[in-house]
Amino acid sequence: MRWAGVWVALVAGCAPPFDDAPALLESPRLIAVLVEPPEAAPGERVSLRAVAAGPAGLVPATEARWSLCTAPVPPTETGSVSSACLGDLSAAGPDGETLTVAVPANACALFGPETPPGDFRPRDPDATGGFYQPVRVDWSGQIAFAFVRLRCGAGRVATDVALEFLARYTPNQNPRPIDLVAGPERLVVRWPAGTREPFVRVDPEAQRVVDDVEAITVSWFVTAGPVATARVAGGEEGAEVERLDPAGAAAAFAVVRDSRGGAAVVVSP
Amino acid sequence: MRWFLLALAAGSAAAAEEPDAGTIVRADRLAVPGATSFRVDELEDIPGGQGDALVGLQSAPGMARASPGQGDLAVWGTAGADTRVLLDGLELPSLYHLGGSRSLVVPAFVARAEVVPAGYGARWSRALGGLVLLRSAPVPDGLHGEAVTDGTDAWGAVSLGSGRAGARVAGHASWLDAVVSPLLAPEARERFPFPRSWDGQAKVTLPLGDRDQVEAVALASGDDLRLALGEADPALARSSTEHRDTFRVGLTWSGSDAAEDAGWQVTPSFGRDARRVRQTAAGATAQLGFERWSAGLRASYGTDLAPSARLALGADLLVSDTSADRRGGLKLPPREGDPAVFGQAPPDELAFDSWRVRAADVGLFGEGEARLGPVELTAGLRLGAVATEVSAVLPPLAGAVPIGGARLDWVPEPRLAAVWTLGPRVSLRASAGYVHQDADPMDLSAVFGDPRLGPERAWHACAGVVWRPSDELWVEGTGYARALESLVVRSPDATPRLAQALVQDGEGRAFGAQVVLRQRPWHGLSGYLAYALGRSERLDAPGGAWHLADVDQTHVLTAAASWRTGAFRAGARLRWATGAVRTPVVGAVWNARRDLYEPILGALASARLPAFFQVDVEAGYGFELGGARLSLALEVLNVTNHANAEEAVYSFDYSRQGFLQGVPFLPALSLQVER
Repeated sequence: MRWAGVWVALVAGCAPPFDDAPALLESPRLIAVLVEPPEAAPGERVSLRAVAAGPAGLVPATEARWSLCTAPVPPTETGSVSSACLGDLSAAGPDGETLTVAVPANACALFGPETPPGDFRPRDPDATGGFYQPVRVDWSGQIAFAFVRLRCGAGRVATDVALEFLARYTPNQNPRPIDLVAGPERLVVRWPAGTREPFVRVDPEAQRVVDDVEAITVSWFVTAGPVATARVAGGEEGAEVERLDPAGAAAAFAVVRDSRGGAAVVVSP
Repeated sequence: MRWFLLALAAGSAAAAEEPDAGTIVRADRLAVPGATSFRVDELEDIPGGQGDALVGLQSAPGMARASPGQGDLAVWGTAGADTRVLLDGLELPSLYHLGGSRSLVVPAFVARAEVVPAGYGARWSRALGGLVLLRSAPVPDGLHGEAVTDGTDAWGAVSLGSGRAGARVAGHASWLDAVVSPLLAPEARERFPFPRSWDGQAKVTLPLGDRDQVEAVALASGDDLRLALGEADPALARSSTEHRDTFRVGLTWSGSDAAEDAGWQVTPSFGRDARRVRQTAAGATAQLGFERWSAGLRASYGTDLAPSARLALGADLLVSDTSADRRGGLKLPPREGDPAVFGQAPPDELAFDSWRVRAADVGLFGEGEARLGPVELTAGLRLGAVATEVSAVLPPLAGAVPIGGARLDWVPEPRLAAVWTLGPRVSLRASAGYVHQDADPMDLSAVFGDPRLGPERAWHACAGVVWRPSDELWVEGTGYARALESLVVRSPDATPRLAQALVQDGEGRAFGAQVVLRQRPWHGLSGYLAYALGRSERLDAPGGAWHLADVDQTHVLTAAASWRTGAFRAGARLRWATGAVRTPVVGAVWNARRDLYEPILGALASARLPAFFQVDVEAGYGFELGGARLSLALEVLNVTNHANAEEAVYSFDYSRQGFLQGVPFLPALSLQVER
């Protein structure tokens, strides 16, 4: 529990100041990888689009290199992707801003609950019951991983629970934000009511299907002038963030993410 | 963290006379190389204890420097959890409250503390590392009381004794949280929390007949700690809450001369431990808890077979029933050997398990001791058996009846020790043995661990020379080696087998040497100088590469001295230690789903924090005033204000590294009143 111990010291105020400003686009970088549709079954095709931005605004990620990660994360590693996927991987398609690719047929076995015969341990889902196929994006010296939500079975649960889950589950849809208004004091992004989609998942404790509703987070990006925080939790119909330097004329972008892996980018006019 | 400029102590103390334990620590018959014994009043004079003498044990010879806020008693290359702490034979889950700055036992309740880093005798086991043996203080005749308060805590003790009968109660409680927290805004209360802890002890001694004696000891403690960084950014919001409570009661019925290990002694005990932890970070949650009931029985009989030969026989039984649950991902909290980076968002996986473990650990031991001229030889054998029953060997499945499992492990543990007296002031010592440590019930989950795990095991061997130039001065050089077997580690398989997220393929080795110069009180001067050179490594999978253990510290130097003359006393403690082992960050990847950067790691455990250096000083002056004795003392932690790096921290994209710094220059003034 080393983590907890040193955290006592951290909250006591001994941490070095880094002057972090993740929202400020000081150099070109990826701000989102959009997946359409955001959830797919093995064999289905999905389109991915890399969205990059820098101090001058949006930057076309035309030289993005795409590859599929096919190695699950062993318990000895602490990241979201296996270190085996940080080395050389074969390209999943031609370089470019977008990639259209079929979800590998064995994705639910590698990254989901459908383990091969022989009593292997299934992957643990995230809090929304999701399993994800990692897709690596190399662009401008940066390595990023997008995650395609997999439509797999319910995993190692009772048959009646699995059937109920399959009958009631609705695949995820990407958010559809209305606009981003960059006012002098705050940035405001709006989306229609119902963007936070209801869905069902299997509760691992109760071992039954339960109802849930997506959470929304918004990541803010500006080309100049800091904002109060780089990410905020969204409400029913929108989110906002304070601009700390109202005089700073800047382009602004918001990436709206739902908790099931969907995302959308909205740009200030 | 006791960062307070003023600490006030008041009370009246009546120190019980305690015989000097001598410099040869026998850990109940075995003369163990490298072991040290401290009277509590010796520890009180060592600066840095922040008012708690037993905190001074964290810098005792053989101990690795503890991480801040941990209070680990990690000896000779093993983790703090591998050290067993016992108070009058009652096993404690830890010597310290959460945070490590207060002990679980009021110092006035304890007379002596012995640190046995390795090679202990056959009557002990269940510890891959060492032993910390606390002996409660005897109850003096008459009525005595002591009450002390400082800037954060209050504690006290009352005793009543008459002849061989007596009773003492002691207790401690933190009070700063209760006083200050209501004055703070709710957000500040969570961001700058004050630990809440309490403990109480009781001891009753009754004579039975002319020589028999019954001694009952009870202990209870509780801890609560809540931390929160309620950032507006959901990716940075973190919180941690932890609750822990412990109860122990034991009864020791001893026959004639039991203190000298002759005659018989029986100690039944009973206890309960509960712990609940909840941590959230970047949307990931880990929640775990357990309740453990335990009962123990220790019985021993010792007798002289001949003028130069002795025999001790006994039994040591511990049964426990643990109910546990856990919710979250596999990787939080981290384990030994995990390439954990401070501040890294854990994977947002979610699993759940609830399970029960019933275990019985039985050890029958015998030790024979013979003196052959200048050589004193002790040979021991402990026949151990560990039976473990788990409620489920497979992850839960709705509608399916859980299938339990059981296993039985036999652990024969030979022990051997020898002391060769070369002269009146020089002796050679050596000891070796095989020990085991029961599987942690929290590792026996079918979802998060492996229900089939058995005991971990280790070989200990140590040898040294002791030279006593005078009655007060003691110099000891010791070499040691450990080989750890069947260590529980994470499965290296990308897709582990069902109910095998943990496997028992780990190995470990630790070796090194230690030199200790110890000065017993001499013209008011006492203290010790200890230097340890060591290496501790782990192997996580057969055929893999050895890497440094989390606890590895190549050099640990501690010098502590105190001086009393008349009304004045002064002390200083210097500590220098190799920096803690870390895994370097060599880059970062961006997780587009969570909008978080994650570190790319270099070779496991191939980097270190900068070396630790700290000097603490204390000076005190006593005087009479109005029939009372007042003592004014000033303790200064980190008097050189050395910026010690306690943890490596990173910017949001891991492009910049900085260090979390430890205790700065920190004075604390205290006033004690005795009457």
